[in-house]
Amino acid sequence: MITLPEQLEKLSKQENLIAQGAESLVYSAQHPYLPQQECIVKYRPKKPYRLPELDAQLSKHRTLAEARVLQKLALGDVEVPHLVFIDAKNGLIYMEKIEGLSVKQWIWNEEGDTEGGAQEAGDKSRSLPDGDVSSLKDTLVLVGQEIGKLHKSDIVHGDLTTSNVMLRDGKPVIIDFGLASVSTLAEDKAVDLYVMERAVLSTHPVHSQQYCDWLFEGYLAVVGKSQKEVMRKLEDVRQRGRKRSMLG
Amino acid sequence: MKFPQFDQEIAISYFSDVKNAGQIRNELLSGNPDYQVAFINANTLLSSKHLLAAVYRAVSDQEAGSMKTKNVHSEVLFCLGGNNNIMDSLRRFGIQDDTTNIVAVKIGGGEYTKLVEGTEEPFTDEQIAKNTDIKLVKKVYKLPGTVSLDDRAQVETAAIGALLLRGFS
Repeated sequence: MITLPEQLEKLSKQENLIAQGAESLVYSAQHPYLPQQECIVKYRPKKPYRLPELDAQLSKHRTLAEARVLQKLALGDVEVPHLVFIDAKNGLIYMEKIEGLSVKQWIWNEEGDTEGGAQEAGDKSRSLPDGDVSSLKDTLVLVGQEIGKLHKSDIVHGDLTTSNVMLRDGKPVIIDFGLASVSTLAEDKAVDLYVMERAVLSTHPVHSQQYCDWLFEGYLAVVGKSQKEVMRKLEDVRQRGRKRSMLG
Repeated sequence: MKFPQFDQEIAISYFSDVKNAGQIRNELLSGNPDYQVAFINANTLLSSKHLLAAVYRAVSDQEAGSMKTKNVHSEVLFCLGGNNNIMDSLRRFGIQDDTTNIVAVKIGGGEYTKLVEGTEEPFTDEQIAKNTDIKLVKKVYKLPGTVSLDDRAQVETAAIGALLLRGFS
């Protein structure tokens, strides 16, 4: 049973739940200190099956970890939601609301526009028509660049999918850093990219190869010197999957 | 104004050409109860959002019983700071004898505007921006070189993030 935390009662309503994960609930809410504005609140509810002392510690720790990642990326000039307030004790992060569509939805809309006609005409190959491809390409290259900047700041996102990147006025903004961590290892960055590849494959199956190529085009343009090792590791990861072998 | 989650009335005023900063400072140091107001050096503020983030944190900490300073007004100055040193934050964000632009924040209602001898200006982002010492702001929050001084919005985001994370990292 999902319930609104008492701290939010004056800012939001039960119906404003906009997303739910294993660990947190995301609400749209009134801004806590700016009149007439909205924000997003990410709430980590208490887990009744955990020892209360441990639960409080874990929620606080994870809330702060996420907030620190957001701050580090804001300092590194990566587009992420701004912090509005942190209430670590109660497991709440207030952040800026990003207006716009997720890249996933946006691509689906674009594909619908460009392919609707072809499908009706019975064209089974569903190739991307030349004329309307440029906005898809430009946007995905930008998304790739933003992911490159993310990795350059030594943050791995942990769940890079097209639904975790929003488009605000055509510019990508990466969201949901609940699984993010700090890492300088090429291995971790390669796994991040592998997860992204797989996500693109499952959400946009028809043109996934083309989309990934564009994403990598943007990515490689900004990551700089670490790229060789990351791409080499990515080959390994593609062979074996996301998890490292536990054998020897 | 009021924050939706809390009952306390919050009043904010901007004063330019202030003549009596030294006298106000002496009254504050002697603990005069009529001076229960947060007097802030306006040159350290970036925008109303920047100040409100700190005021909101101060009021939240007061309600949660986790204030680190004597009262909610000194807590506002402390919450503006990016580190855990109370004296340091009071000195940097508070007023000096030669301060001429002052933002006064009164939490909980009551008269305070008569305490300041200066010209009252509208408390707007335009007015604040006129006197922001952005280099100083960047310095007090120890913002890295990746944050450009020309990008006011980025400095604001970075400063707010820094003051919100103060005490946790």
